[in-house]
Amino acid sequence: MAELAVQAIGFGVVTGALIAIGAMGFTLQFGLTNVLNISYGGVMTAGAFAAFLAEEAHLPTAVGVVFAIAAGALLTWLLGRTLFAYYARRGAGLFEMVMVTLAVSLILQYGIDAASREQIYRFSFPQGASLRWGWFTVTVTQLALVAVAAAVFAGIEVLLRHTKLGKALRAMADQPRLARTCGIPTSKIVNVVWLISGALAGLAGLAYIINSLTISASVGTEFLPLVLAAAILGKAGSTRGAVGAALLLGLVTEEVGALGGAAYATVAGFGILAIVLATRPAALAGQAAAKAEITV
Amino acid sequence: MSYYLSTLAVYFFIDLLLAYALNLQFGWGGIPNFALIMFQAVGAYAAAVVSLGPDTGINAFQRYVFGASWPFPLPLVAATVAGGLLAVVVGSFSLRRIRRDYQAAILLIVALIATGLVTNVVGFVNGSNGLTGVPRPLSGVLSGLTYDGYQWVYAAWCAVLAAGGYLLVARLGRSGWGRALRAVRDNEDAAATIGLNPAGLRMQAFVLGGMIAALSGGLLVEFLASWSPAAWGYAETFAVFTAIILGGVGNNWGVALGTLLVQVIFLQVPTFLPQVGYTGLIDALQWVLIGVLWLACLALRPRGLIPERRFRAALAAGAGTREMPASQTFASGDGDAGHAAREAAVPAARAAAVRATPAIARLPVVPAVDRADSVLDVRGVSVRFGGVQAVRDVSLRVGAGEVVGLIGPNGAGKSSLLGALGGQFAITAGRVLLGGHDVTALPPYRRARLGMVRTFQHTSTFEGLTVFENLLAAAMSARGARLRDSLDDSRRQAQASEVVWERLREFDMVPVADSYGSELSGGQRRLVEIMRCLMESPRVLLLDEPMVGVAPHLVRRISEDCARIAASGVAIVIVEHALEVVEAVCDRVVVMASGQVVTEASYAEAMSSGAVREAYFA
Amino acid sequence: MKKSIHLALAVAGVLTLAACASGGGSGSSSGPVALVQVGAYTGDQAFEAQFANSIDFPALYVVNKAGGVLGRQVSLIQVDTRSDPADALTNMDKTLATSAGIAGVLGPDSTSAATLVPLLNNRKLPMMVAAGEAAYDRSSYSYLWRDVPPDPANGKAIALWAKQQGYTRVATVFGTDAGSQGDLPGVVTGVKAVGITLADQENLTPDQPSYRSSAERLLAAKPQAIITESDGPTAATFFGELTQLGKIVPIIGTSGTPSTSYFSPLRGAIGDANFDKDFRAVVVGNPVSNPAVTAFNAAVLAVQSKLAKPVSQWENNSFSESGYDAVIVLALAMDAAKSTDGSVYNKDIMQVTAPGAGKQVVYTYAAGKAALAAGHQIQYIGASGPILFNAYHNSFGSQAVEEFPANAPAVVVGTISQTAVQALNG
Repeated sequence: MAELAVQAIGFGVVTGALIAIGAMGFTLQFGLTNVLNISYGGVMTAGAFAAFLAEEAHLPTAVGVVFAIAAGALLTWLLGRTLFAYYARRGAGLFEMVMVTLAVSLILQYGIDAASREQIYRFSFPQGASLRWGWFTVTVTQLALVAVAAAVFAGIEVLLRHTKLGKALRAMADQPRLARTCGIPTSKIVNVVWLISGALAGLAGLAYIINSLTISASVGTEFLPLVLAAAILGKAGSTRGAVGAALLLGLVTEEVGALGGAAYATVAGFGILAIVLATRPAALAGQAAAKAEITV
Repeated sequence: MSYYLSTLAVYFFIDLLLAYALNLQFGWGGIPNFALIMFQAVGAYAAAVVSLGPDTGINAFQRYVFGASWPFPLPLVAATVAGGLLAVVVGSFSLRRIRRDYQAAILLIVALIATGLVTNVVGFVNGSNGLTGVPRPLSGVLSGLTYDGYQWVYAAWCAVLAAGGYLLVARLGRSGWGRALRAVRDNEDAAATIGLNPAGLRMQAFVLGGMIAALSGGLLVEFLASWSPAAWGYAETFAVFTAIILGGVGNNWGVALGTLLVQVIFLQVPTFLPQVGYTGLIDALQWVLIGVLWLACLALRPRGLIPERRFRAALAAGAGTREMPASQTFASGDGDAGHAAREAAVPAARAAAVRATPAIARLPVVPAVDRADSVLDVRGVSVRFGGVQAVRDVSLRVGAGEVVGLIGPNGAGKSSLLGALGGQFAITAGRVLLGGHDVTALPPYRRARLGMVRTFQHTSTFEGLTVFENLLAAAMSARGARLRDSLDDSRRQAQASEVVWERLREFDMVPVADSYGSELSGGQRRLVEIMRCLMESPRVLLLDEPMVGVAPHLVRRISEDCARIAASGVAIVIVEHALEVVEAVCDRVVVMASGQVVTEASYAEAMSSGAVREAYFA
Repeated sequence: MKKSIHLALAVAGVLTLAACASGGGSGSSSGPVALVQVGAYTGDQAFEAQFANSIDFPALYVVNKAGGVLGRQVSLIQVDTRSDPADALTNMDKTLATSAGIAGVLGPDSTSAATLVPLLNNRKLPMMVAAGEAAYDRSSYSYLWRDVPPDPANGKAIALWAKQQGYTRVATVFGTDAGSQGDLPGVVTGVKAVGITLADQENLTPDQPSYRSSAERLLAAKPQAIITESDGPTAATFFGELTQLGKIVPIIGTSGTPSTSYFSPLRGAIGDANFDKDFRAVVVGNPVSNPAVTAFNAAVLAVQSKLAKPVSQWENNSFSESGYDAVIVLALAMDAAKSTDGSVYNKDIMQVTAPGAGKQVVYTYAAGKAALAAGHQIQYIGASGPILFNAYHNSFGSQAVEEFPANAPAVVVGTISQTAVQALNG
């Protein structure tokens, strides 16, 4: 039992890395636009399928990765610029935007479901050798995923803290109206955020299926609650917080899985999200939050 | 064909019940219940496990709890009770005061958790295999009927229940409780300030809706004889949402129309299309179509085909009501267009009316009280949030009939102090006494019931209610909003309506009685808000920057009204930047800066002493 | 009040419509004859659909090639239950209302049986049910026929086989999806009844990225064999991790496992050598070598363009064979009764399959049809062996243990008789 619990720590880090990639994308988007974008899950699925199609066409692995990232970025940017912007212009509030994203999520998920004949497919990706350190066992690919997550985090940190774009982004997330009057090109920044967060969504979807080796239209729905939990637990807009929360969630779900059974790992993840949403101080701001703007 | 129609009829009436439940929770209660289908499921499971025999023998292939072989109609009762219990549990943590988008996400996640738990705890209700072999009710008694005949009888039974459901929700909608619920939906803070308990009302709506949804589940499982997680995927809730958004949120007939269009016609017609692609492709695309339909509704007719009905106060004598089309977009604009014409016609008449009516005699007079006694006693109050000390050790006494102005620069803590008095902000130190009663720890709605009401910086009329309803809700307040009285409260409503008409005449607002807040000017909305505060004969009235966004002639009028109100014995505390108003209306001013009281004196003294200048420019 | 009247009128209108509507008739005397295949083509139990084609197309091919039933071609109508009883009912209702010439039903399956069986029985449509619930062991529905054994029978057969192999400790690994869970109770009962220790039971939520902790737990319990059923990807993930942890034990699959979508991922995960050495499945139906099997295999090849690849998975596939036999039996019964009306030919289903003195034994549809035309009584013996319906319209059949070399038909390595299974109390 103790051995299981300790090993779960290793798996927890890997799972945490997967969640972190998705959570960083989500929190960038959510922090800036204030849209609780449920269709993010659908975008993750789309990215995963883009890579899968590349694999089916026997294209090199690297091409598949590029496909996933590009699909996610393009799809998110399109949705943001057309649908979300349309409803935001007509004065949709926070909740109305959630409804819009839910509708889009339905369309994405079931559209992909129909196109994929509602089947579950096998996804092959080189897993590399199994490495052993004491009680821990990981494959090379899993290590690579963790490294990718770390690299993404580093890249975003550099972007946010050491570039003009990053500074403008942080300003906009904090005070959208003020940023507009200050001459910050808000429209351009929103575009950039759609592209970056979409790219991360696609990458996260791909990472998920690299780890599970199967793909179906429900990939996004399975993965989204954990991504959402990490982003909100870590405070909307804060990528550092998202990564920390993702690691925590990865560890908790793996530990619950090890000690209680794989079935309860998913339930535990969902449960954490529900608790987070219900108790987060920002969530309880009530009236002030209700006036929060949609920036799209 | 007869089988097909009877099956569709059964489904329609069951879906109708489900739609009424959602309308109650979401349309009137403002709760975005994306876990709705879970309530139908709990009802189905409850009815199934109590009507099946024990899980041995012929039922040994499935594992479930209970197995009590109860006869009809007990399983339906069990279903309804189960729905109520589940609503209490889920509501206790998800109905708290949080952003609606977070709330929607929570409820959606709860539905996913429920599916996960049911599928994985196989001994509970047989996991993903579900339950099968649920006995059809009264099949012994009705064995003389043909299969077809039984289906039609069942359809009629469902119709009866659906009709009952309709009568119930229609009655609730017209009642004081229903109005109070919609007030909470529109503006929780304002509802609290007229004495309504938002959490309690929302929970009641949630539980009632849960029970109705669960009943629909019981009916469905007894018809299908089996039930499994496949029947209640989280996406099913969206079909119901689409039905009520398309048909008309908040309107029972709209909801029925929407259910017919979406659940029956829209989801059945594609099955008649010729087979395209692989078997099941068209079915799979149904959800895509639902999503598209949803987007279209939100864009084109967000209020639905038959929107929530405007309440028309029957008028015995006096001005007719003017039709104003409801706005089609989400944003509620300032309805200046159109009112200007009326405004121009009225002033002369109004001035005459004010002079003519013995206004002071009409306002309720506070029982003779020694005016030296303070009605509102603030002792050493401090308020702290985040890391900021917003209010620091403030003391203040206001007597009946006194008007005290709170002035000072931005960030002085004036609104925070008002929030502390009203109950919106927690008091970290000190006490507040209202007529000798310590209200420091009471929530806003309890303070309101004791006589302390307030207005808000952003005018807080109930946007989904007409002016008349705004006032009526306040007139009936908590006592008139009780669920147990709701089925038969027409007399109480009539009585309260009388008081409302009087108030409307007195403030000369009768022409706008049937208008929505979005159709009025800023000043008119402010007036409505103030009138609403008065309906319950308050002892203390807190006004937070009442003149913001109000046209100058209305500023004068509101000032005069304040004077009248004070004259009838109400203590008023007013936060205001427009110093000419403060000068005209206030007996005393309290100058604040950096959370503390700088000085307390008459306006003239405060101005001449330089204290004000110091406060603003220090 | 006005509103209540409106509602009452609406209800009255619907009821009037009902009174005017006539029930659709079944079995007209000309035009094609239709058989309805009802199953889960979509939704979370869509695994069943993959078998439907392998049953329907070969069977219809042989029937139509021999001239059809009573000179009329037989067509197929597919009704999708969407894994949801509510949708199953409307789709079936709609099909019955709008399609002419429906003579019989293949199905319903487990999800929709409770809802559809009463309806179909009332409409006097003979059904060849594929639902394994014990509820139909002693059914009183006269139009219900079942030629597959109930779910517990397979589990008991697996236990008997495990006992034969000398195992004393086994573990179960089952997905939590409906199809897999349906077979689990029989396995547990069977294992206990033969006296084998059930060392560990793992229930896997499908499509998780990892089952490491379950694999660890299983190994800690040290079973000698693993009895399993789940979907392919889940199996691949689980057994793949088991292999990575260094140990693989003999695996016995249930009757629900043989299919390419299960074997292919599993082979990939544990390697071909391990798969060939350690994987066996106990399947219902005993693929004997008889002319019916030859005919079935030939039919499969003839219609291979309509079936999922590779075609070899369908040849000698016991589940497909019993389904194929079901169609042939229905067709022969219609021929024997000279009618496609269920109320007329229902009893002939028993007639054309029961053994009896003076009956001509036939193995193909063409032979049977010819014999009937010549005035003989027949007994059809199918690709799954003799079909012996008991008083409750259930026919069990024996079960076979098979191994599955890559790209070749399955090989039988053992059989478990119907008697042995029924003797096992538990």
